[in-house]
Amino acid sequence: MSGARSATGALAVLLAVTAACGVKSVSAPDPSRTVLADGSRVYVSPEQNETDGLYPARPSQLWAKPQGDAPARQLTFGSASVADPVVLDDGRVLFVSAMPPSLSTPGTHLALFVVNSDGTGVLPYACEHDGAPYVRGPRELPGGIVAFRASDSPGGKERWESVLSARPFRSRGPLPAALVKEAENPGPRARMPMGRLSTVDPSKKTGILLCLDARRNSESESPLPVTRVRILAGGAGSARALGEVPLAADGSFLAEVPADVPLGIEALDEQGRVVRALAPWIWVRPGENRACIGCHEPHGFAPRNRRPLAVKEPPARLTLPATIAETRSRGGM
Amino acid sequence: MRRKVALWSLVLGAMAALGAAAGARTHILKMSGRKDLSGVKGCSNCHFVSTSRLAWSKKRPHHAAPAGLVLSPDGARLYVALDDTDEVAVADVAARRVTAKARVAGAPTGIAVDPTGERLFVTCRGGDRLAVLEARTLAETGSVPVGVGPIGVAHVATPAGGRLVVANAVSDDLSVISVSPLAEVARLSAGREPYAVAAAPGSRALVVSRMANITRGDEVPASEVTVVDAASARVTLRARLDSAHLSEGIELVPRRPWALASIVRVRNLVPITQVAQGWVMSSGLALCDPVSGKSVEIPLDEANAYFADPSGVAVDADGRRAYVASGGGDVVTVVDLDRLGRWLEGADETTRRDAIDDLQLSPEYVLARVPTGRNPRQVVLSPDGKTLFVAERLDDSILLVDTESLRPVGRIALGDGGEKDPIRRGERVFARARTTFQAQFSCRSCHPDAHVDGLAYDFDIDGVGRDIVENRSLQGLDGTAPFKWNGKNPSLKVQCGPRFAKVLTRAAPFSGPDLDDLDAFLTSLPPTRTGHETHGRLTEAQERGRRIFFAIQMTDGRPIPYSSRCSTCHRPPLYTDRLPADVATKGPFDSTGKFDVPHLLGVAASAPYLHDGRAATLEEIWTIYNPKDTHGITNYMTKHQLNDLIEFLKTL
Amino acid sequence: MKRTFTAASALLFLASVAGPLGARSGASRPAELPFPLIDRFESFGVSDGLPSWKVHCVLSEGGRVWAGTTKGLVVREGGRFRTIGPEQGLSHSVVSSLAVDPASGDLWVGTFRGLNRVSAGRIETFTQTSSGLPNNVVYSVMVAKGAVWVATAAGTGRLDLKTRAWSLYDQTNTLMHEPWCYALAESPDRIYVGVWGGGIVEHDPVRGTWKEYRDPDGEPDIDLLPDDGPVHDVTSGVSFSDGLLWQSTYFGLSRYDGSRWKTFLKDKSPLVSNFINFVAAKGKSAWICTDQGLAVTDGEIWATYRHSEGGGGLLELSRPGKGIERRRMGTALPNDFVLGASVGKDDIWLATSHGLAHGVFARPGTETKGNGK
Repeated sequence: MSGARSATGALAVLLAVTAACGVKSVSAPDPSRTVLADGSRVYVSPEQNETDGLYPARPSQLWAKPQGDAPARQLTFGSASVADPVVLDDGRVLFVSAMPPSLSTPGTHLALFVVNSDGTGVLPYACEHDGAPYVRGPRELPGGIVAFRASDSPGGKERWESVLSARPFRSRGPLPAALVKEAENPGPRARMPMGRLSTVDPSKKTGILLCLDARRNSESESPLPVTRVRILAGGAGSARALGEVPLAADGSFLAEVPADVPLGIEALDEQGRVVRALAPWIWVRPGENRACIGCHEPHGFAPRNRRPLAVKEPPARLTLPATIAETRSRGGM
Repeated sequence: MRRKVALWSLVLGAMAALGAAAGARTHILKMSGRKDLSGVKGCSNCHFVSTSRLAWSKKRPHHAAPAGLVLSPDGARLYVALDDTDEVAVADVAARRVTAKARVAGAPTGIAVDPTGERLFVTCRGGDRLAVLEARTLAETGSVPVGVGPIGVAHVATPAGGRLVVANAVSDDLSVISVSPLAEVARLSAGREPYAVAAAPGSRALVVSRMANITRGDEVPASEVTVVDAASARVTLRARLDSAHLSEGIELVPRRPWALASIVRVRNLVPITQVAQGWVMSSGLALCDPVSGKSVEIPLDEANAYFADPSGVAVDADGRRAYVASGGGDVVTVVDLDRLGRWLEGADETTRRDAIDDLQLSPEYVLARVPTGRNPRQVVLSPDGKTLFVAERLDDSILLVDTESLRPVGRIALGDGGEKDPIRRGERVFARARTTFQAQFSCRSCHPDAHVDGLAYDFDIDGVGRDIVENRSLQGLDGTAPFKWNGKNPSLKVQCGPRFAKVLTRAAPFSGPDLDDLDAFLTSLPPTRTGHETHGRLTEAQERGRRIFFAIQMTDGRPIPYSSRCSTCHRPPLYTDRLPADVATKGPFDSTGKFDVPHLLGVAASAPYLHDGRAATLEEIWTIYNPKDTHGITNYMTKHQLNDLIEFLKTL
Repeated sequence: MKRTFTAASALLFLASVAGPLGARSGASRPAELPFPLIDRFESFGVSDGLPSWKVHCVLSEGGRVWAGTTKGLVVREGGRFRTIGPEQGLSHSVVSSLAVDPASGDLWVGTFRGLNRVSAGRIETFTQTSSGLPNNVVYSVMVAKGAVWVATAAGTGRLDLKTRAWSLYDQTNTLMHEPWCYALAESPDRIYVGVWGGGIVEHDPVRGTWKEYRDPDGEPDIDLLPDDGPVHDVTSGVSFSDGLLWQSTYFGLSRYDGSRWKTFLKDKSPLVSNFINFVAAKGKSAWICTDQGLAVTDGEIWATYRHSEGGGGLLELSRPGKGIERRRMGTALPNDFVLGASVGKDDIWLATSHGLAHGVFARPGTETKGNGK
């Protein structure tokens, strides 16, 4: 814990974790770029062993340590390890982690994610399904550019790439040469990141998942033949089904789910066959209301203006089986 | 001895105080019919309220905030309507300074010029008239009454001569005016709050309405573009803009079958679980075909940055570029219309339908964002297209932008900006979007002119799908604390404080000084203008309605219990006792049936009604939603009496 | 010989110009007639795109024809019918009355559940619960003097188009005998309300006063004294034109010129039936929609259109002192139960209980034959 407070310690952790992932860390950005608006410093913990891989039993998570004696708070609760956090101007934390394997993207694929400063609202940010599968060391540059190192294989030849914050899922390409120097040494941030008041309610043990239309997907205009969803909880290799939630007539569902555990979703058709599956990687914080547009929803889309029918009933309550160990831990390192 | 006297004084004083408190309690319980004192803060809930002591009754500084702009046909002079100072100013463009001002009574707001450049046509929002000025001298040469609250105006050439189309924002109609002789030839119905007008070939005018229609239940709101044939004074088309509102600008695009209207795409039906990914609203443009009425809405925002409150629109003469002011984002967005056209050609029906929600789309056609001063609203292009003039409303200035380099090249100062005035500073806080996450919206975005957008929202903090609440006006709210429908916020500073940041803006709360200024601004706002001003004299129907409002017995002589009289909870002069009341309107998704009694000043312009907006009109409050006389005893009324009551309420 | 030839020629000439006695198809408009004659009828029904056979009301304006049916409002544009019903936002499918605001072109539609304004495709509804409309059952609607007037089952309402204020008139604040108002008419300075069971009330909008016209007989079944006032108190229609107020009832027809009344009954005039659903005044004449056909009269000369017993249509022309001239027509009304009319310059549209009819006026000096649609 005290080691994580120093830049050297943080770097050691980063190196250890990313080495386990088969990825070397770039030179860390200026320390000001890992500080939240309230002065908390974001870091990764715990250290990983080389043999742990991307989905260890206790994956590396993001933590934020406030100034003074206040305890650190955990920000991420996914099943894959995380690395290389930086704080964006909008106050969110950008970091590297692995996408859960899927039919369209089998094998390892690292991507950029964002999460709010209280661990709510985790979302993919870029590189989810496109380009080289190994990324690290993201940094925010002026002009709405996010640069990062990319390679086609672990430990392979790296290059600078970037995305535009205006369209991060459609703009991945080589970083313009004129910006490479800035990317390599970003320097202190020009202005403080945006602040945010936490919406986490520590008195609660659950959060809410709302999906506007589980039949909506990014692959085609035709709605998926989904009639209900199965929610899973637990890390890699230990996921358990919490229960099933039928869809409302418009495809929406509302469920109360355990907080601070990795959650996955299987979309089922009338015969109970899995139409789409999301391996556990998202989570809700205590008291968080987390919503999505669809099942493997199109990225960068705002929702259509419709009241979801599911909200006219109380949420389906899905509780955590005792056999699943909570990934929530106290005090960090 | 002295000690004894002091002691007895203390004892007697304490006894007197206790006695007074007990007496007050008895008085309150008896007069209000309530069994609890929840919400009662003191005598001032019912007594000693005087509007003359409220902030909005006091004099306040006025500022040369630019409203409408128009250039002379030769581009040499810029005419600016200054609604807050009752003036029209003319500036020499080359010299970049104001050369003359003239007083024009009634809050001059919109301004147009005739093709010869000799006459100006100015809408006077507060005077409900259109004034004609001689452009050379700014002398007023004519005036004609129009509808209530006129804002936008355009001059349209027709075979019948010059016509003007005026958007009357408060009366929701359009005035078609013949220029010579100066007379209103027709009054046509429009959408809700018609705001901006653009002339179009073929004797037409296009009018965009700022607000979406009042909806019921889970209906999707929509605003309207009204196409008017100014020659025949007929509405020829009404185009519907789905989930669009806050449209403050419209322009026809030469060479293309579009009109461009600035819009906010609102998502009021979606529970506000987040702000990211455009979840609350986003800004855009509606490309509206004025012949078929079909429209495509496209985003102006980006996936991780928003440019809130799009306002004025200008299009160059070749139809190649559009300039859209972002009132909350303090930028002008430059749109390449050729690239937009190419995208549109390649987009199928589904892509067009979903375009407004695709936050990664705008880089296809957005060329640049030009930073401006505070709250840019109206924009006009010089006749040669080389200079864009931007009204920086809350800086009291006009920004000049070179359209080739897209850089600011100068400013015309209209006033001092009002930095020393806390009300002005507060208005800046109100209009500024950067205090919300990714600058997605400002306070104005839901409260245009600090009023209401007529929509209900689902804030997730009290449960998704629960406690859906209708928006409330911020005009005339000084002295009406507490705030929020459940009355839990005792002051504006609490209302706009940390919880607001947590629940809605998802960012850091306002700073202390900003909060103070915001309070000063909000409390300075007088009640909403409804267009039913009585000037001290009620009609017969309004007087009958007033008696019904203050009635203590029914028509047949049966008494109305004190607690069931309109005037008990809705006590003048603010028509609220500022206490929570249960009028049996608790819905299946509400956690409580007790709501803060809303004040009724300006109520006629604040539809819909009740806490969740279920009553689309005032009538429905009692015809549908008071079956058991729980919201006042009203079922004894005949239709005559209810109509009269409504007529009285409209006068508040 | 020469004299015989001359007489024969004269007879032939007279025959050719005077026309034969007895049935004759088609008609021209002789100079002495105060109203045009219908040359032919076209009929439209469900097979042509109407949503229902029963048509309550019709309005022809600006090249369009609007008709109110039991299953929605229908508009004919470019020869095709399009229905507007509750699915499109109309407040109810039973459409009772239509009026156009000449100042804006907006169409006002009365239904059995509220009033609608149809304007460039947008429908705005007013009901008794959402507005000051007196009652949802709207029998008649009229736009006059800057306001929309509605006759409803519980009084007459007036919506000021500028101030949006509603005023309500019934038996409690006017001379109306009862609140059931059925018909409306306008003269240059008056508003007339036909009250069902209350005759006619006349309103002076400037002074705010009311005046009542009742059947002086008080007899529900007979017209005891002719020409003493309205023929009956059960008013089904009122219409004003050129200084004359016409009243239709289920018991005859009345006309008022401001000082004198004239009543018309079936057995005392060429009126084809006392059961009159609607009256539409035009000039000095009135078109009368009865349960047994359509009539038009200036009070002296009458023309009646109905089905002929032998098939086809029958025109009966009655002129004082000239008896009844009967002419066969190749076409006829779709049904003799006529509920409404809209009279134009060159034609007339008619609402009947089994279809919509279009009567084309004969052009002067022409004769037309045949059936065609």
